[in-house]
Formats: sequence, C-alpha cells, structure tokens
Amino acid sequence: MSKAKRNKGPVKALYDFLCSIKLSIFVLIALAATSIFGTVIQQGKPHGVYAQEYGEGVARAIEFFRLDDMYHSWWFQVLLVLLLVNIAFCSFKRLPGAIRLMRYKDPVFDGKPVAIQERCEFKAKGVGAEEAAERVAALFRKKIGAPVREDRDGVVYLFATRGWWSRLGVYITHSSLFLFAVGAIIGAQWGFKGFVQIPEGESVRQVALRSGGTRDLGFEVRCDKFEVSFYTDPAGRPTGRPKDYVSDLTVLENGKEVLRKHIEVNDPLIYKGIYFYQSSYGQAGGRAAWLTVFGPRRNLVAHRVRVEKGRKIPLENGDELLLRALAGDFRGMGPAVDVVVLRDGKDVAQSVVLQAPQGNHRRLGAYVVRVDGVDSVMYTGLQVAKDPGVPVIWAGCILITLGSMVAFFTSHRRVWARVRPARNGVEVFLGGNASRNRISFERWFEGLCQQTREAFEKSVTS
Amino acid sequence: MINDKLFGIAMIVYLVATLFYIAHLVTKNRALGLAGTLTALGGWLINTAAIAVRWVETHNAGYGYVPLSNMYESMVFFSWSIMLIYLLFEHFYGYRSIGAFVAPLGFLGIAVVSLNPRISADIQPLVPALQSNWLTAHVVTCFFGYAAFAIGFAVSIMYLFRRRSERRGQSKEGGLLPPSRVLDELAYKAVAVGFPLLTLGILTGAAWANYAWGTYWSWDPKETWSLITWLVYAAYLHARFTAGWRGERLAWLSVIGFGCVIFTYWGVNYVLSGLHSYAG
Repeated sequence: MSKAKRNKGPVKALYDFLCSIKLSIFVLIALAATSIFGTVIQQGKPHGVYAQEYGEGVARAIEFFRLDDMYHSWWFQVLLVLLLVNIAFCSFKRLPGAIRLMRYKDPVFDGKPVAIQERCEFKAKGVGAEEAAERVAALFRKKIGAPVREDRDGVVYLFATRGWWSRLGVYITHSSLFLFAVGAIIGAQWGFKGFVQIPEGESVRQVALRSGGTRDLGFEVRCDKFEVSFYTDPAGRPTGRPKDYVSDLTVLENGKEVLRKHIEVNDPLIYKGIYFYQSSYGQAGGRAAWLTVFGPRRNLVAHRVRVEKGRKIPLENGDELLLRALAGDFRGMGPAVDVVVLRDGKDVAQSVVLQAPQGNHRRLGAYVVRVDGVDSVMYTGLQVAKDPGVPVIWAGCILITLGSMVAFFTSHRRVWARVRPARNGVEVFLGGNASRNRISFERWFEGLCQQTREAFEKSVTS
Repeated sequence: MINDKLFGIAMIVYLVATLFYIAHLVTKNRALGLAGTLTALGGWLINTAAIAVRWVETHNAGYGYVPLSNMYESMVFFSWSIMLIYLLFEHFYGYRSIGAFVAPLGFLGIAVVSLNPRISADIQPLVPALQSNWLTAHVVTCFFGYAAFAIGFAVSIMYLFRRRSERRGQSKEGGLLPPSRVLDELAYKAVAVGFPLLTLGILTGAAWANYAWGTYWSWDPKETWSLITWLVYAAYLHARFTAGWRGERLAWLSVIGFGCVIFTYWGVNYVLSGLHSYAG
C-alpha cells in the first residue's frame, strides 16, 4: 500500500470503494451464497413451523436475521442496491475512457500509449510511398472501413476501425439490471397478486390479496363451467393423467357480458391489464342428488328420484325425507348426502349416506336410503395478477440479451498502418488491437497481413 | 420403444469415443484422436436420431410433444448438447485432448438415466403446466448453457491437473495436457458461451412463468438456484475481464459454477422442492 493510498480523503476512499471491481465480485458471491438460505429454509411460514422444525432458539435466530422472508429482507435488498450502485459508479468511471476509445482516430501511433497486440512488417521494392499507402488504404476500405490518414515527414500513417459499438455492449447489459429494478418496484407499488375461487354459475367482484385484504376488480367475473379432461391411451382407455383444466369465464360490466374466454393452464384471461390464471379447482358442494328409498316392508318408496338440495320428498304415512346437505367429496370418500327423516316436521332419524358402492344402503329409522348419484358443482381457483412493471422487465430482457451478445461475441478492432519510404521502395508496418476475442482477432489480422503482402506481391522482398 | 435402444447405443458409442480420446491423450497418436472425433460424431448422430425417433413415438402414442419434458428426456438432451458444443469447440480450437474429459460426461448423461431403474423412460403425456411452446425455448437455451458450462468444467479440471504437474517442475510446453495458459483461455471461452445462453434460459423461464403463473419471478428454489449459478458465473467473468484473475482461483470458480448447475438441475428436484417438482 503506497502512501498516496493511505493519505487520500474519506470521500475519495468511498468513491474508490464503490467503483472497485472487488466490491462487484464480493457482492455477486455474497448474493449467490446468501440466496442458498432461502432455498433451504421454508419462506413465509409462521413462527410455529420454524420452532417445530429447528427448535425455539434457531427459530428465533431465523426470524432475527429475516431468513423466513430473506429475499425481501433489508440486508438482501441492501446487497442488491449495492450491486446497482457499484455498477453505476463503475460505469461512471469507465464510460468516458470507453467513449474516448470509440472515437479514437489518431493514425500516428509512434511514441503514443497504444497497445498494439498484433503486428507485421515487410519491405516492398519498386513502389513509392504514395502508391503503397494508396494500396493499403484501398485494402483497409475493403476489409475494415474508410481509413484516416496523416502524413508526417514523408511517412504515411493510416488508421481504420470497425465495430466501435462493441464497447457499448457491457453498458447495455448493465443498464438492463436497472430496468429490472425499476420494473420490480413498479410491480410492487402498483401491481397486485391475488387469488379467487369461483363456483360454477357464480361470479365474483373481489379477490383476496396474497399480501392480505381484498381488492375490488371494478368488474365481475363469472365461471360458467369448469372441467378436467384426462388423457386416454392409444386404445382409448382413460389413463387418469390430467390433460387439461379448463374454465369458461365471462367478464361482466354492470351486469352486461363484455368478454367470454375459455382459459386453461398456459392460456390466461386478460382484461383491463388484469390476468386470470387457471391454478386450482375443487368441489364446491352439490346441487342435487338421485336417491332411492325403501320402506319398512322393503317396498320401493322412491326410485332414483332427483332431489334438490334443501328439498323434501314424501315417504309413507306422511313422513318426509329432507336432503339437508350434500358434498361432491365427503372426507375423501366420494360423494355423500346428509339426509333427515321428518315425522310431523320433527327429526326422527338423520345420517350421512355415501354414494354406492362405498356407502350402499343406510338405515334411517324404518327406511333404507341409497344414493345413486350426486349432481355436484365444481369451483375454479384462479390466480389474479396485475403487474404494470412487466413491460419494463421485458425491455430489460431485450437489453440484457442484445447487450451480452454484443459484449461477448463482437469486438472493437483497430488497425494502424505506417508506410515509410526506404531504399528502392517502402517499409510497411501493420499493427492492430481488439477489445475482445483476441484469438479470432489474431487469425483475422494474419489474413489482413497476408492480403496486404499480396497487394505488393511482385515487389515484396522480405 | 426404439428410442431408448438408440439412446443405449449412443451411450456405448460415447464410451468408445472416450476410450479413443484417452488413448489419444496418452499416446499423442493422431489416428486415435481422429478415431475419437469420428466416434463422438457418430454417437452424436445416433443421439440425434434417438431424439427424433422419440419425438415420432410421442406422436404415435397419441400425445405428440417435443421430448424435453422429464428427467429422462432432459438428460439425454443434456448429453446431446454437451457433445454438440464440444464438437464445435474441437472444430474451432482443435484441442482433441479435451475430448477425454468431455466425452465421459456425454456418456454419463445417458448412463445415469438409462441405468437408474427409478427414472422412467416411458413416454408420458404432458401435464397441463408443461403444455406450452415456451417449454422448448426454455429447455433448449438452459441446456445449451449447461453444456457449455460442462465443457468449461472439464477444461478447468484439466487446468488444475496441469498446474499441479507444472508446479512439480514439468515444463510449460509439452506433456499430456495442453499448456495451462491454453486451458485457462478455453475454459473462459466455454463460460463466455454458456453465460448468455443461461441468461436466455432464465429469461425464457421468467417469460413463461409470467404467462403461466402470473409472476415472472417468485424465488422458488429452481429459480433461485439458477440465479445463484448465474451470479457465480457473472463473478467468474468479471474476475477475469476486469479484475484480471487468472489461474487456479478462476478454475475453482468454474468448478463451483458447474456444481451449482448440477444442483440447479438435480439437487433442487431431489433435495429441495418447488414449482418445478413435476419435472422430476
């Protein structure tokens, strides 16, 4: 450590720290290493879950360091911001130099701090400096671009450059990270993510937010139908593997239908910037059941009668059967009904009856009830999201893709030539450098030298 | 099914290519090296045919999907990508000795899934979540990136061996492996190819997630591990480009990076759980 470094002021020290590449590498590695925690420790669970899994002490530590929601914790956000600040400072420090290199046009390289990576030299006889320079310039025009020329004491200097924009690649790439940050902030500020379950035939106006609370959509969404379809094997038999989850949705504004859409996984409904994604489904209860009832003498009282939920059917001697409730899936045992036998309007027997064959017949007082089928209602579970930051994120995606293509796969090539009069002819010198991909530049430069020599073919001596 | 037999043949051909490459590495015999390249190319063509046949067979089964949807299909595609990118590398840079370290990875990719009875080679129809054209774009970009990183990993391992023997007094030129400065450069080339591809893989994943789930980034373990991998390689590139790191530190970073690739791919499925769990 030199004295100069120790003596610099705190502002300069901070500036140097913020532009240092060591900071970049440290932050990148720190982000990578700390991110692991969030993949090992479950995120966003209540205290009890951690206490049970790790014990009380460790659970407290997890919550103290915000490892239960670490990607939103202050210290993780600080690391992210530090990365952006570091990039901003680095760019600020390096961009002027990069612009200078992009605009550099000085053909005279002798005695200048120009890093010439590749070089070649030869002598040509029987040709004047002016004509030789013209030949080299013509070749430059063809292979690189229009050269800049400068004459000094009878020596001709030429300079040509190609792909100056390649140096912008890294800045384009880095700027995308700022767009990601802006997009994420816009999404967090003005977007929302929610969830809603809609039974078939019903509609909703509000969705429950993942962050808590509800949100009014400003319009209604109705689920007309939900359906799961299954794959069949080549012989046409069902395989039990789900093929599609499909909901038929209708958007209503003030009770008027404005849009109908058939949504499935990977094909959402989009209305007024709000997306509705197929995400789950389930049984929402039943509408009606088909019942068969036998009387006290094993006589058939009702045979496959459709009974609506909450309705009664007459039995013998003024008795009635009430279908109090029904479920499409009762405790994982399949469709079931809750039925009551009424005598003079009073309960005399009550039971839950599962659908045949699991449940089969069930005795209720003097009667035996069988469930032949349940007309159940499905609900569709929808993720509801609005994220106005998404276009900014896409812009970032485009920039990072283009930027890294430019940064990795193109290079800024600069070539100098010096044509110096010598005895009976000229001495030609070519030199060049590239901002990236030196191996392929080496090969390209060799080709350039080869062609230059060929341009002097008859007169080249060494 | 014909496709899994073809994959089995490709696997054996990759093993033969490995043996040729190792023989070439030890003897420096050019004919053995050429035999390695030709067998590797032959294996890759059989691998290609196997993927094509499997694609046709999905249609015959009545499901018709691009065969990139489960562990078996992705691993045989991984082998395919590794060998493709390696053969291109060999074509452009001409170091056959690397084949001795990469061809076994191609072999292993198929071997691990073919010989593991717990991984099914059956053609199963796509669950609704995977029925999207994004699947192909996402898997292809990710695995091309992974394949380039696999080559970077192999070359970095060679580098570490080479450095060890150079430290023991071996000359900088000659010897079994290419000189360390060449290996350092080639490992970097591989990472520089892999990084933009991984970036694209993550972006296509985000685009798909936004389209299918309504959120482009949800910090699920697969996403997070792909980001960890990305960050490690970003550190690698910056360390090399800007901070001027060379040598063993950088080689280790490339090895760690590939460890992250493998964890993103396997570890998350088998050790952690998340939204990608159906891909196991």
